[in-house]
Amino acid sequence: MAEIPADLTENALMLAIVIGLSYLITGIVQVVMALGLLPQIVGMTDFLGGLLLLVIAAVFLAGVRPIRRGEREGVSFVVVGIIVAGLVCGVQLVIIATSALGWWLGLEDWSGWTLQQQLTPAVWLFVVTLTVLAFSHLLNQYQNRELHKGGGQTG
Amino acid sequence: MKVTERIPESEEDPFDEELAIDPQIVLADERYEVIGNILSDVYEPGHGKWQLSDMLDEVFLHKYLGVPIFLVTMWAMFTFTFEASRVFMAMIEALFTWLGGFTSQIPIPWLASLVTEGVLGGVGFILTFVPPIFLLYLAISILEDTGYLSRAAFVMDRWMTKLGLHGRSFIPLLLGFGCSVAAVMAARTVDGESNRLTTILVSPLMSCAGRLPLYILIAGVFFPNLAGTMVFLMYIIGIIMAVIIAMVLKRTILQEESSPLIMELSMYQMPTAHGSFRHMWDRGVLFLRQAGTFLLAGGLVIWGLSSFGLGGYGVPVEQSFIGIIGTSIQPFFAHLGFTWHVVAALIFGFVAKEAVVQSLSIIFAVSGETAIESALMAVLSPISAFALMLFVLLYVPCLATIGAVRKETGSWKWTAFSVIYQILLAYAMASVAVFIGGYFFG
Repeated sequence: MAEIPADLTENALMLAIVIGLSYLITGIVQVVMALGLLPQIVGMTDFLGGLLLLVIAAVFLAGVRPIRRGEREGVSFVVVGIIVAGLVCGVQLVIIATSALGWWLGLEDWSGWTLQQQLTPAVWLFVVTLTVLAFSHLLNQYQNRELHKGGGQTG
Repeated sequence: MKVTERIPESEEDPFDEELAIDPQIVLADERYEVIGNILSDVYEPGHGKWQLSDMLDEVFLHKYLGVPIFLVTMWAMFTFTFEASRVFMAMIEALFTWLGGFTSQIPIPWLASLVTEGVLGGVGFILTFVPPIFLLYLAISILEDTGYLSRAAFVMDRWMTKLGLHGRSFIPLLLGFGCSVAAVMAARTVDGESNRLTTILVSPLMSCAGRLPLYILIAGVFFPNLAGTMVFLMYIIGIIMAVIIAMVLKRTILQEESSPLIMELSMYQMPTAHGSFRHMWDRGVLFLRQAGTFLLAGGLVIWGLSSFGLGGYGVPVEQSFIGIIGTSIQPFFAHLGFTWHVVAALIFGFVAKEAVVQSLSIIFAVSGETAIESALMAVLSPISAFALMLFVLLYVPCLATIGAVRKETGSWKWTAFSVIYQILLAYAMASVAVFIGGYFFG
């Protein structure tokens, strides 16, 4: 089994808060929309889908306290949150791919299919997650480079 | 490799040492003491590596998050199974419709009907469900290969123990998602006679792959926007019913003190495509074999019963033998909104659950209905359709399962109990669903 990447451990708090809050806010909005309390947006009408986002948010946010206390176990929540978010996104991407196949083959049930219908928050939030991870990685690289530079000057 | 152990709350009393000692725990303790002694001689303690497997267990086995994550995983599995297979089902259906166009041109009417409605309408229709069944087995294989399924059993142990069941019972129950026979046989791994018997009796309530065609058909026709969720709901209801029945059994006729759960949790593995597809094929091919043998034979029998009546060949389907059987029993199901077509299909479902969909397809085809979907909408309301899903979920899975229960319990008494309680439960729950549904939506 692989070891934990250094980027994750060093920026875990920022990752847990930013990604967790993104899923939490979107999950609440989706649940409220599904209940008909807000005007509905295409791709955000599934109540159960909203609950899934809230579970993912809970996983990320559960890691905030242990990370702040400096416990390395806190990073686990970020890693598992990414895995669960990836799983939900992966399932949605498979659904998009098979629907696109049905549309391409001209099957009746998919004649009115559009990509927009199936671009649910599970997909674009995971894109946001990957973006935040990439940003965290770059930030980490930059900090390390600056640290080395600083060390070289004083030395 | 690590050993995870949970001692039931009732045995946590430090003064009740006699009850707390279990040979397996002693064995595990001794084994790890020996390992510890060897390690202390040869290993220099330092900053130990904390690996991904430890990280994952930290959350997957979490007291509060473990169960929600398990439910998300289950949702992902069933949504993947249902949604990803739809397009392939439509392709296979189109193929058989195309073939039916040729076979219906056969100049001998009874032969044309036999091949088109009996063979293509029966076995051909059931073969359209090959994609979801294969994808379900693929998803189960992936979960097994990663090592997550054993964690799921451990996570559920907390709840299972509270309800009087053994945590290890969850593994047979999970296997029941694939096949009820496998689930009943896997109950051998459960400790304690009472725990084992309870697991055998409730395993058939877990929704096997044979029920999937009916769920997909009904959910697609009556609940198109919630089809994936409805299928997922059926599996969840199956789990809930199994737990409730287990709780009732353990508190009434099958009382026994609970025993601790000791499980060796292997490291997480990245599943290989070869391994997962191989497992999928090994399990899925059994369905293909079934379709090619007794479902084909069953289809011919159902076609014969639908086409022949007391007046010979070609009587209206209501006067056919299957119509006579269905209409004679239908009054018992009238309050559920089931027509004689549905009741006749449920009778054939005793042999195998796939036969329910197959029977409906043949009966409607012989009736002259071109599409089973529109025929179903004509004879069932959405509430009755949901009740039908519940009934199929809860009544006896198949003859093979009854045989497995007989073999594993070694008792006709328990086998009869298993069959009767499942039929009564299915009848009661379907009635409750219709009553509640009628009250709120009627």
